[in-house]
Amino acid sequence: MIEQIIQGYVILFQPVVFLYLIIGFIIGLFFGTVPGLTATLAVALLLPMTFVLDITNSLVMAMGIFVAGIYSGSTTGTIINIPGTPGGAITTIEAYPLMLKGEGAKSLAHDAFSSFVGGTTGVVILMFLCPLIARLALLLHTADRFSLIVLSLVAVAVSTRGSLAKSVIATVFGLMLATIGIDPQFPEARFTYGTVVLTEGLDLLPVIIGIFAISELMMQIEAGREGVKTDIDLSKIRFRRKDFIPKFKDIKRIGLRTYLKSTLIGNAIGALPGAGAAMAGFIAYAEAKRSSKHPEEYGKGSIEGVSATETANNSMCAGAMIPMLTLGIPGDAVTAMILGMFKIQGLVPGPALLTKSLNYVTPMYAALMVSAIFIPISLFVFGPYYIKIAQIKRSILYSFIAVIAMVGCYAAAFSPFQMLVTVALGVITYLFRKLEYPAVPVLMGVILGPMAEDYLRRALMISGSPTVFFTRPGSVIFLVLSVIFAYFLGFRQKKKLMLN
Amino acid sequence: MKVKFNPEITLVVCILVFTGIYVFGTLELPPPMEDGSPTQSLYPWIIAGIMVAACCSVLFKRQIWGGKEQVLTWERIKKPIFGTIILGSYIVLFVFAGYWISTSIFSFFVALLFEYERKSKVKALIYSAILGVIVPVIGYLFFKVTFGIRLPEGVWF
Repeated sequence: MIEQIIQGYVILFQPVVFLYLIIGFIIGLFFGTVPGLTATLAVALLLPMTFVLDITNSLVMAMGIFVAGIYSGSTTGTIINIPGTPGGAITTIEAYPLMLKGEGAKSLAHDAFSSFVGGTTGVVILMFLCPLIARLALLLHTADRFSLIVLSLVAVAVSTRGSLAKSVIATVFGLMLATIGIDPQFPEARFTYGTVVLTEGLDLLPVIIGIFAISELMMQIEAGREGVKTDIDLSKIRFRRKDFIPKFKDIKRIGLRTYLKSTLIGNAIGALPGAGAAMAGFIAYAEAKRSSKHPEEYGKGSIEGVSATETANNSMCAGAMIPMLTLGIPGDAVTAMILGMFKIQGLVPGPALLTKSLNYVTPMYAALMVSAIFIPISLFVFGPYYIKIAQIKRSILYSFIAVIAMVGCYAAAFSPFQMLVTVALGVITYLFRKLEYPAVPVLMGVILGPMAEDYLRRALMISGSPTVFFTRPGSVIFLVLSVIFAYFLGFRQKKKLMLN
Repeated sequence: MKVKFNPEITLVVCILVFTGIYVFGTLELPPPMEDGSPTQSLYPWIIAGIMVAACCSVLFKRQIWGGKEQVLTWERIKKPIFGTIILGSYIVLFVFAGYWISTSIFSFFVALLFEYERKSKVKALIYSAILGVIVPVIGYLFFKVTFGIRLPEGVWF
């Protein structure tokens, strides 16, 4: 195993592969920094290129985008109180007050250092856990696998903010879309309504670009030309590179316990399908505040709060890879797209991938680790320019994004029909988002749907009775966990929110 | 033009209509179980049932908690409608007029959707026209030169 991990670094440090990592990292930094652009959108736009790119280069580039996008989501939150990504929103609670106190550079320094700690430690946990979970996954029966998918779908629905019923509708909408086309077990087309173009079903790529790129374009078109508005005079802000080095006394004050706890929280939340960086950051922040020796500092600019949130955010990147690589269940929207990259190349994530195709996986581990190391370096190089990046005109950004999304979608299948699917799904997702229906569950439904149906029917065919789901120990555990999740994260939590 | 409506209920009704069409498609398939084995309609029936239950739950909550009726004005919906028209037209033009003409027009109009709020409309037009030239060139360099992707020349030419 260690030899293969070293081999992963050898592959990563080949000049071309390494260049793709750097390009991916810079794209991720850019997309994370500009409000409205996210790492998810960047990976969605990269996806069509994976048809012509080598799989290792695509995956390494995606890792760079993922880590840099998650990290940089909080930089504009710190500087101008507008987080670049949802994951950066929690950091902003503490980072922006620090900026107002004139300690913006200090906050950015700890943001980068914590992201580095969370990112690197998270990868170590990923490398340790993946082989163990993959071995356990081999023991799962078909009925257990179905119940595991049910657990994942429940987790997706309940961990998304807002109404539970709306999350369920979004998830089931994705499940319905996934049933269009040839049946997986009988050679018969379903839900084509006499049209030939629907026989092959919906490709993953137009679905992803529609859900993430086109819906975002529509949201931004509606928002219009409004630029960045802030109560700070941006022209007066100057960052010096020497301020980007965190002081040891501050790191000591935050404490190893906070870093370690936040890393574990981020990793565990990342492994939960659909949860993502925002939830990882929020839970780590709440825990750091609860156990802090200085709770009075929270809300007024706490470096400890910034560090806990950012450690968890970046540890989440590695955590989200665990279920995707070992079970073929994505942990968040970005890993769902990485799963798409594997599928485009004919690879099936799961235990077999970790034994037969480890040469594709170990460069990913290496890319995650090296990207985390790049974070403090990137702050040193690009830190003084973050304000300028955040102020780029929307008309420039979105005319490029619109063309890359649409032409990229065409390039994947050379089919105008796929472009039509992209626009239709983009408009539907835009309407969903306007009315607070989450978008990520739609994609999770599309990805997990075929697996859910396949396992359900195979389990019923083998056993001949639905009781198999309640008699197999593995299946029972997953179903009980589904009920617990639904109760504690769904009904109870959302009822509390509604009452508040 | 002003139209009063509740967007929440409208969307749920649209989803229920979509589910109805889905159920209609399911009816064309064999019954869920045949000779003790599941068929291709079992899973669609299950998820359609969950969808109907979730939609009813949203409608039921609206009934209890009430929901704000919103006034639909042309000002509110014009931008998303123009956006959808531009995206749809791009697909048609892409096939008939090819990459260069369609992408140039498309990027011009997308830029204009952001720029037209400028005080100077002439500046907005000039700025969008510049982007209408630059974006297709960079797109060409990206797709064709860097990745070697074949771009359509258009059936008109």
